Amino acid sequence: MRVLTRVAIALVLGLFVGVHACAGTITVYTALENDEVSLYLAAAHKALPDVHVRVLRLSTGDLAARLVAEAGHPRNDVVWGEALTDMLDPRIAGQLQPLHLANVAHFPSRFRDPAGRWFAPTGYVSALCVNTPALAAAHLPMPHSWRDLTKPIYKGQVVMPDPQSSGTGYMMIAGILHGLGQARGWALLKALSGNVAQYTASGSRPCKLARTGEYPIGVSFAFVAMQAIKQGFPVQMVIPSDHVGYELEASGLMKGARNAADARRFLAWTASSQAAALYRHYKSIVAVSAAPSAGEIHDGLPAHLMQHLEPIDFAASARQRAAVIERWKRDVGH
Amino acid sequence: MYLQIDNLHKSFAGQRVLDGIGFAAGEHEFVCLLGPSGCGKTTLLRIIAGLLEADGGTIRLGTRELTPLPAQQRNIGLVFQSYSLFPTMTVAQNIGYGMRLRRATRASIAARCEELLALVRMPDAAARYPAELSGGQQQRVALARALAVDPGLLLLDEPLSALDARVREQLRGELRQLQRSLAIPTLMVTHDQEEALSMADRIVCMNQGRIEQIAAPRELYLRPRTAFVAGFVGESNLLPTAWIREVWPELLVHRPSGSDDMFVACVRPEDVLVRAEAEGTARMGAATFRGATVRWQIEWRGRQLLCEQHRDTALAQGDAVSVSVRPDRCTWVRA
Amino acid sequence: MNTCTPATRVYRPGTERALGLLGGGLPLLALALFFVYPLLSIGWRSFTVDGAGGPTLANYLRLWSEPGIARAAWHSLTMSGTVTVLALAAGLLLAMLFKRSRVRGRRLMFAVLMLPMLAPSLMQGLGLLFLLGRNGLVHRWTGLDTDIYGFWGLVAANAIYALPQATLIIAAALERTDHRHYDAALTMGASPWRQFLDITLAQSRYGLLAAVFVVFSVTITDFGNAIVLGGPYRVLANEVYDQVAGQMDINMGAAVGMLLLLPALASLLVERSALRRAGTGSEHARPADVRPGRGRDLGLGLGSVVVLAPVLAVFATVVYASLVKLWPYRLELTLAHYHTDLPDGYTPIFTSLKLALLTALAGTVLVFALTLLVRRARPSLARGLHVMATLPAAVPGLVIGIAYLMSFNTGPLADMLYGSLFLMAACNLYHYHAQSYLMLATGMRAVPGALEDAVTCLGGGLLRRLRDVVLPFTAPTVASVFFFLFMQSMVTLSAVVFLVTPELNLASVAVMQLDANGFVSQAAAYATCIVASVAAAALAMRVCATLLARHFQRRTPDVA
Repeated sequence: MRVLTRVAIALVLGLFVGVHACAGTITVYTALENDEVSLYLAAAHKALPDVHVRVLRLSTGDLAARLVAEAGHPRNDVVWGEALTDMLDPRIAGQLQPLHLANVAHFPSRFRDPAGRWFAPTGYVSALCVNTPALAAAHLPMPHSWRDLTKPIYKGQVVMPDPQSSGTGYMMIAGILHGLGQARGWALLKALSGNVAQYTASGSRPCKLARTGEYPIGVSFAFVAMQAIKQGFPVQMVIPSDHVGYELEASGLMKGARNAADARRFLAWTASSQAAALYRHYKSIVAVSAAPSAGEIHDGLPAHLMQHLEPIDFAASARQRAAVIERWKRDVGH
Repeated sequence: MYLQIDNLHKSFAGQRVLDGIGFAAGEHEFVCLLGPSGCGKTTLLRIIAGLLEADGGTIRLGTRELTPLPAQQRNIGLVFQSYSLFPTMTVAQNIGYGMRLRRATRASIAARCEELLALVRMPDAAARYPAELSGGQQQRVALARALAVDPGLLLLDEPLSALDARVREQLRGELRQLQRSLAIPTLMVTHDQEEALSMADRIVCMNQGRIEQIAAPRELYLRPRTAFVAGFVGESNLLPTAWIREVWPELLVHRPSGSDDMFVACVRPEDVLVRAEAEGTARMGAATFRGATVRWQIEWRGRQLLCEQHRDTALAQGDAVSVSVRPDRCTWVRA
Repeated sequence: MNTCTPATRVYRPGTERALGLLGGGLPLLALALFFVYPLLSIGWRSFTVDGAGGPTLANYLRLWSEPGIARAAWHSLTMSGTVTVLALAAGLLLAMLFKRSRVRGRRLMFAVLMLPMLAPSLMQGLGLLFLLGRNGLVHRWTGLDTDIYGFWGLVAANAIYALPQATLIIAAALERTDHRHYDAALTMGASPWRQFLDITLAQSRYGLLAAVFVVFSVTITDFGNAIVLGGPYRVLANEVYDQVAGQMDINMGAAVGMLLLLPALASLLVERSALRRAGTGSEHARPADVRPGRGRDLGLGLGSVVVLAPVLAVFATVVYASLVKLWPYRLELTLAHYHTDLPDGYTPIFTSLKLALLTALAGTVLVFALTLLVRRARPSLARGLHVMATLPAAVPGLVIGIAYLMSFNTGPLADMLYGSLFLMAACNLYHYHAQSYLMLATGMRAVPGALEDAVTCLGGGLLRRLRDVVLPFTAPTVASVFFFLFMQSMVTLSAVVFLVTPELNLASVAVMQLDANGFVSQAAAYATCIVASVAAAALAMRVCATLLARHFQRRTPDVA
């Protein structure tokens, strides 16, 4: 017992010694996926060998909640690849300091903040994951648009992310409302909702349910759909032909950054053409190279995706989110 | 006096359980705290042991003031109704426990242990475990454990009430003898008046957190001072003044002055004299056979009297009798 | 005659007072700092809205008017009630099997029972999905139209999760029912069934009520299963998650969290009034000798197999899925998924092991000290402490995590605590405080008060009482608490996910990330590795404990 006590005391004391930021180290919070983060970081390390990047990877929602909760005493230097709609929440945007990077200057305007608080080198679009064997088993035709999904034959065959908890869910709704206008948009959402078997908490989950054949159709985003195809699932990706929503993955520098100089260098690298080349492995939308790769087109991404996407006022979209979700809960949701 | 207790008070959740308790005990005395359950006697014992803190009052033992001392420093031996031996220790380890705490040498512990086991008449039990012993044996071990550290005071909390009647009877005698031979001041809590009467040098009779009377067993039985004591210690006929004045005015001789409802007459059943008499106005009622004696209910002048007779008395239920009491056998007690 | 020195020599009042202060003060301080303070700060948040000063009831008024809340509350109550009934019945059955039967293979069954505790909660969600989903194994084998999403899926997942906790608490209550009661009943000709009703159930009612409270609370606050298997059946935990992670409305999330405290508080009151007369144990109470009983063993054995088979099936399915190429389409066996794509590989498992060990060690000591304090405290104080010690079960992990984040991000302790393993350990401990405390409090009832008094009168202080009375009577329960905390710390996610830092990534978080990133098979493989390492660590510690116990027993031999 006495030995155990000593071990315990040693452990407790040892653990008190926290890790403190030292020169050359920056702390980055990101909502990007683990595997892509590994790839980008390896390249970043080659470009900036003297910068040690500590990365904390969280899901979009958890990251936003953490940033809001830590607002009194931020612990990170950089936010990297957080959903723009979340980033524009004043409680998060208010924590960012303007930075005008040369690499960002030539981004198309919708990929950067005129005030310089954020820029978005990448983004993603809404996409359907369609499990072909499951679709065949249910004797259903391939859907191509939101309107298709409102047809009664799809009743109980569609899974969608819940806009209350998922940014992807909200992105889809925002896209439809933006494209169709309020009245027709809500009517479509209502019709669509009649066919939805369940709403999921996370945006990638509908695709994961679809790829294992739980449901024939999952409404998600392009990244997970292409990943499912890559992994070998019998899945086809469909970008809805009508009013597809999209989201940008924004980065920014924290006001209280302890190592602002290195943080700035790192952010500049994420906006570089070198990085952009890597984004193409994962991203459906890349700010500096508008055209999808041949592989992506093969997987189902339209060749002229950017023309496809109507410009969205993300600031307005972020402002309206609470009201839209409120209405969705009242009129549409289960 | 050796043990001196003054004006102890204790309340639980606003309810008084001890109210101005004070008494003393001599250096070799065996004192019983007697009372019905819930009268506060165990609370008093735990306060003396230091397991509970009193709200007020003082306890002295010899020259020491006990009140500020924690239980560990009072050097008091305590024996519980539930034996409370360490189940994972042998008898010898149990007995030596207190000495081990005091860092006594192995040899002295072994010697003391042997001595005590002989004293409680279990010389061969050293290596056994409590679970292998009978209740009576366990209680002897518990006693030995309490005695091992030479306590300045021995406290016994209903030590015999978990035992069956025969063992209880036997242990009573042994316990008393042991106490005499060791000459150790002892305080025993009991609700069994027979146990108290047969064992104690003096009895402290308690009721509802107060002391009713302190007296030697004989005096307590013969000269109870309150109706409670008269009723709790042995049995008695408690008769109101007005009734006595009417039927036995001669018994009023010893009555202290005071209003009618201040005192009642206490007459023990064995002091009620019965004579068969054809024109007697009393009637023999139901009888309870008690071995050496028979206890009768007698109906007279609207009251039921208890009367104890030798078993050979030739009386039967329904017989007409006359009833009398010798004035010196009537005690007036506070109602 | 005077063969030994007076007690004053060994008993040092100063030391004793210091020990008492430390032993009482430390758990109180820890409880205040690491539970009451964060709970109050998150509670305060529920009375504020962002961008407006001053306390307000706006969040609660919104709760009242939200259309979904009333229905979600109703769902939460019925679902948790159903889980409580099921888990309690099954837990009682299993506790009887472990403590009151001679069925062979009990160790194996115990290992199966522990699975939900050894495994990240994602695992049972995945397992149920793989087994009973619309395209799960059962559907593929039988062609039946299985649909797990909704009420029954939630009930199944939560019942599996709560089962080991319920069983452990009930088993602690069965640990020492006085064998004399059974002897008495037997001589009066009571049938085994009557004995079960009149003695077993009556004597373990404290444990049973504690189990009811724990099962109900952990079920109503769980959101992991609600998210994976709830489907259209929305419960209150969904609302908390939506508000916090979906809409960053921490204030509103806190308000829903406070709402979740209500049933727990109510059940605590019920529990208190049901347990007014609470005696202590007697040192004669020995574990009832288990007499041979064919019918009883057969019944208990079969019942337990029926209960445990699905548990085993769920976890076996996940392990199987981690070993095939592409679930559920290409079922060739492969070890490829055990080569993880995570940047830090399997190191999070070691971080988690360190964290779990720290939580279990410090937690067992603190909870033990607190239980002792409650045992000795004045009734009014004890009642307050009891409520505080059991309340954590009613706080959703997500709310605890956010509360920690906000409470320890700023302030005087922030620099020392924030981002440390120590804070995570505190978070884990107070997340699972109620279960640990209730287990120990239940076990502590077996400690005979008179024996403690005997030690005191013989001159022994606090440490002696612990060594010679309390510990010998509670050792099995103390061990259970240690392992419970160890296992939960290894796999818990909902609260600590808010406390992880780049350096301190945890195994459970790694599994969640793999799953969230779409590498479900890798997540299953990773989870399997966690189960294996937790099991190995627990086994190693058991062996150490047995060796230690043997060492001690040589000095003080046990009852023959």
